[in-house]
Amino acid sequence: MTESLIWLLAFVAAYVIYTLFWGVASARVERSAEDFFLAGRQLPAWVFVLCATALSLSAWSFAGYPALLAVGGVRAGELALGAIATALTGVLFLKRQWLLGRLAGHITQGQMLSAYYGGEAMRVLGVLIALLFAVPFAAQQMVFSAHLIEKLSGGAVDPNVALWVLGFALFLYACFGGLRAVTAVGALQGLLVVAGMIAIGCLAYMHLDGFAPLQQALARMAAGGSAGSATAQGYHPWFAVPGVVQFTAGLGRENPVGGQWTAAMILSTGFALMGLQATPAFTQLALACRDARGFAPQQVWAGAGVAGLVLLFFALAAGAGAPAVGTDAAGDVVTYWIGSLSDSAPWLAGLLTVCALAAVQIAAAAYATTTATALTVDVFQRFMVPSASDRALRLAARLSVCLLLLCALLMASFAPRLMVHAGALALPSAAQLLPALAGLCWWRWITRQGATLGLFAGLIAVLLTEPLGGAITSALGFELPWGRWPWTIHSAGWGLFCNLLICVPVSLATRRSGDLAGQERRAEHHRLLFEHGGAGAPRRLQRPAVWALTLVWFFFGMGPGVVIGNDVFGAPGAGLAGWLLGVPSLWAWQVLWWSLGVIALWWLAYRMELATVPRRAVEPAEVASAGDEEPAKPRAPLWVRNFLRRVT
Amino acid sequence: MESMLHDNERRLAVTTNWAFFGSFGLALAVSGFAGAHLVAGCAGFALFAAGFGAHVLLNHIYGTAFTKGEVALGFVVFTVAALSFVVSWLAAPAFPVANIAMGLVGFGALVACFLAYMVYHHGVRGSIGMFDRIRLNDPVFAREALAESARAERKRRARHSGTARGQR
Repeated sequence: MTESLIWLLAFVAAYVIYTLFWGVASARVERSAEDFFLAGRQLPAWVFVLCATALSLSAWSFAGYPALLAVGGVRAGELALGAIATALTGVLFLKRQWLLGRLAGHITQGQMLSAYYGGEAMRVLGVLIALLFAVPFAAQQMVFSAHLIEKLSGGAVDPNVALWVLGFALFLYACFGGLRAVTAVGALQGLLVVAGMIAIGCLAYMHLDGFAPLQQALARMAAGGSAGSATAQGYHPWFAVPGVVQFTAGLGRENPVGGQWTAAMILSTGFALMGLQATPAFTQLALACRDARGFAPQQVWAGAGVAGLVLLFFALAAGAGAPAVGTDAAGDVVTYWIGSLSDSAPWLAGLLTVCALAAVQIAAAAYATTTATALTVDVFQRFMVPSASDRALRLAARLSVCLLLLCALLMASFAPRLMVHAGALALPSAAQLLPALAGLCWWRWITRQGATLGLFAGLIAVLLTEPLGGAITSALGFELPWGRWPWTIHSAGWGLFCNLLICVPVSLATRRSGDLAGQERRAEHHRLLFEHGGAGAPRRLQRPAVWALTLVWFFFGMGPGVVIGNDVFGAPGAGLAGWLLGVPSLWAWQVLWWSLGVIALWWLAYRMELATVPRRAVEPAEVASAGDEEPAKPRAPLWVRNFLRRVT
Repeated sequence: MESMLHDNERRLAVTTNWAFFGSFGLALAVSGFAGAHLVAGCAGFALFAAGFGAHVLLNHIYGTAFTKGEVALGFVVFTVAALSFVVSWLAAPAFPVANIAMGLVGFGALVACFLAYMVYHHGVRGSIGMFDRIRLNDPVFAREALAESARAERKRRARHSGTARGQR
């Protein structure tokens, strides 16, 4: 056994013991199902800040983003601005969902949407989206951690063994302690993820001998040109966005000139990232909060500020700097950087592995626990055993956690292709919840029919613009005429387009329909939201200005205006002498719009009071939960109900 | 129940604090000693000091003092680490000068942090007197300490219940 393996196993073992400790400690203070589902609605603000930041970053930012930079170059760094877009979703929706959760006692997002819109479709679709995160998306992240351990142990640890052992450890603490344990461990995971990303960035700078050699390496690369993949303007594809949009048939059928990262692709991927804070998991995390004090700091300072800073300066060095030191591990740069310490500082390599593990486990644990809650409340209790006791609910939730993690591990081990294809649906599908959440929190005119049909249409569009949809239609004997992401627009963009195309006209057509009870219910919800969460009169005067700034930000930061950034601070191939700020123009453009994005978010969250503590005290149960006010009738077959009663 | 949650929250804050600062501090300090890197080693000790400072801050926020277990664990870990350093220095003939400097600066800084805390919290006279009374196993001191601890607990509970009432 080598020294590096000993340190690796020691750090991983210490981490697993820590998670188990909090699993048991959380189980000891658990008194009710609400304790398991929502940590007793007593989550401290600082724990929310750390957990939500870790969950926003997760393994995608820790490992996926640097890998993307190593392959796609500085222009893929545009996705760092996704930190602003993600936080914007939180600013717009989380406080209002928290308010509704407090006022009506909701536990899940599906319950909330169902109570507001009426009907059960939103509830079921919400659970389906949650399942995408809990099974294939979580499985993808767990596979990364298993491969990392395999590579760093020099092949001594089999990836499948690592996968199942880590999965079992995760199961134990998530199953014992529920959301309380997940958030307790998540607090440390948040710190580890951010510190780990900074440490890997510093490692890259150390290997490159500082910032100046990175500048020179980038200048050399930009001046050198590229073999046949330059943009239409003749720029190196690493340093320029290849146009606003390219009307190609999609990846796999027609490759865009200069790469896929057009402005349309960046914007639509930003929409996908916005889906992250629209997921049922984030809603439950918000509902678990004791008060609203954590929302604004998380969204403005931690989620947009710190995360953006880390992505733009440290992850970018780790990703774009990797080719400069001559590594060919383009798709796996994080493993490369951590592995570079195996001989010289194996203890640091062990610790950074734990940081990567934390990035994976926060996502897997949070999605498994919250989806288990959704399955318990929105399926088991709603449709099968409405009179389930508190103990039965907890047991059902624990069994659901077990089942979800088992599915994720089996998928990771035996169906890796399905895992990748189904996992790719998760984020764009969550983005389809945005119009429904906009109706819940802001726009009263969005009706049940509009939101439900729009969501359904959006999910279909997402499926058909991802490889899984193509595979399904092929199996049905029908070939789609497009590949993945046609017109260089991400599936989230296509989904939202179809979603809104259905949602808006249907809502306008049905807003005055005969459902008077539904109209009154929605009006009552919005009246209460306005009373508790509305900005004061002076603030309302600032509203046009701040929304204009937000739209301008989207246009120039992530939208068509990005192409201006290609050469506004110097042509990409002009080298250090021609770069006005000493770095590629696009990088400087990203930093500029990240700073402006943080300012816009600060204005929205604090000045417009979209994420601050409500001025009026929140009295529970001010809203009648429409979907739940009449006792639900069990709809499962009698034998299923009898079986469940016996088991639980 | 409220008190239990409060204690649990404080314990979470303390363990998170030490799991973070302790792990990175340990990794950097070991890196410093292994490669005779003064900067890495000092950065490791600085993280330990930051962890101690953050713990004091958490005690202030939650209205508590160090628990007996924390004090005992702290002293044991510090003693073992300091003894390891001294033994390495004396026993290893080729112990680098950089490591000696690193250890002296690092352990010295930790002791300074501890003394600064004692002086701030108990005053110069109180700090010295406390050691005397502990040494003499003074029953009066024991009573005073118990009374002080009970006062701090009452104060914490009153503050906490006030906060809870405010929230309700």
